[in-house]
Amino acid sequence: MTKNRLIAVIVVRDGRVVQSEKFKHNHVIHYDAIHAIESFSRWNVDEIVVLNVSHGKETKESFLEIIEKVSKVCWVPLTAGGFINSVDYGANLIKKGADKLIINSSFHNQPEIPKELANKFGKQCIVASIDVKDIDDKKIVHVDRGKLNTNQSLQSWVPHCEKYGAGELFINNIDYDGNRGGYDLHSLKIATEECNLPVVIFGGAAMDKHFAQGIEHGASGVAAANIFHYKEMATKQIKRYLIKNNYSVRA
Amino acid sequence: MSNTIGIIDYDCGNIRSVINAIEYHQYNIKMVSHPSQLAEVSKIILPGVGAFDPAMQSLEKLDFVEALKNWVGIDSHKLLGICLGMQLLCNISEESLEARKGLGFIDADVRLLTSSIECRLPNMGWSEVEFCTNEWDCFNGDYYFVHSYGVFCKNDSSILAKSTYGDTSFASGITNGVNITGFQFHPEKSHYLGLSLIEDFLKK
Repeated sequence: MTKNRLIAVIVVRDGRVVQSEKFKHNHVIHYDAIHAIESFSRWNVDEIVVLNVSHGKETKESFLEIIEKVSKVCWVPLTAGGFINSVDYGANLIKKGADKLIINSSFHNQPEIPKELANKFGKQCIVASIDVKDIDDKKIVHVDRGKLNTNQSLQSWVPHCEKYGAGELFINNIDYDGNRGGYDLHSLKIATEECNLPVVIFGGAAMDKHFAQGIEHGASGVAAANIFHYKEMATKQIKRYLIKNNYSVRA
Repeated sequence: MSNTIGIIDYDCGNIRSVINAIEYHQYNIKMVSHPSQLAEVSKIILPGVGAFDPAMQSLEKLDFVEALKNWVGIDSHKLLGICLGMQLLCNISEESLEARKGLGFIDADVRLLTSSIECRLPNMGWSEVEFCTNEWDCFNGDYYFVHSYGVFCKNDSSILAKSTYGDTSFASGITNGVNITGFQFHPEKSHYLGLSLIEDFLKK
């Protein structure tokens, strides 16, 4: 049976690894993204996601170079995203070594882009990143780094993403991001109920039990960013905890 | 020549990871984008992500189908299909909307895996592989899978490795017993176990 994945997210701004807190990225953790990824690839992580959160679109080209370098030291699946607002750019990321593309705003602005990329590379290559905010007890989808409210509920957004080529969902709650209080399990539940695609939960995990909760609530993958940088070999410790508690993860 | 590995380049998805894994073992790569180039290599990898129809169509359009049949007719030539590349080695696939035939190198069919709340599709992640061979220098363990369709062999002798998804047991490795092999998982993305499997193919 397929095991639950522990996923490391590396948030890159202008070529540097940064901390993410409520979608603000002002704190540099590592000056070298390659080094961070090399370590994670060694430390039992099952998958690595690299996100370009730079402010300027001009970083698109240098991000391609980062992915090219990273892919040479990454022996687990590598997902890349940020500024995928054309089919060509998505195809270029794959050419440089990304195994999957993670796409957020284009599912709103130009949904034909993920659709066409899915036709070209297969939908298993397309991860829909979905950011929600709690508004009046509803999970409302936001795009453009959380700045634009789509007024769409998570319930309606999941089938929309599936229709436009998503083969996997990656759910984050903007208010949970970096708050260390655990995942938004309610959003996870909604996403798993609305489709049969694998769902990854991200945002807020800081303790061993948070990862267990994600798996418990139906996540195929449990992702985190900040915690993995601040504790040496945190990924190994989390794996040990999950195995000890009989969760199905890769040793 | 023996240090050069061919990769069939037929415009079907991501081959960078396969290239990286081969280069890691310090072998050279020859991109084979035309059947005439098959003669230059004795080992070839048939990669592939995406769907069965466009992939087969692309092989047909580039005249690879007959050329590959002739090429694998020589026992010292080794062919390795990965993921969709493995499924193309089979007779037919349920994924084909046009009842298109596969390469037919191995007597097996490709069928859609059953999806449910617990067994989501695509099957994406690390799953146990149990090898049933002494021919390969390989280890049972977790390898990385991304697929919605599984391979089911007509004869047990074609099964090189087994895995399960939900209640379904499928062939995660297949062989013709001579020189053709397929892996459903991605050895190039399966960390040390996968890298050592690739090394074994390169050394064969």
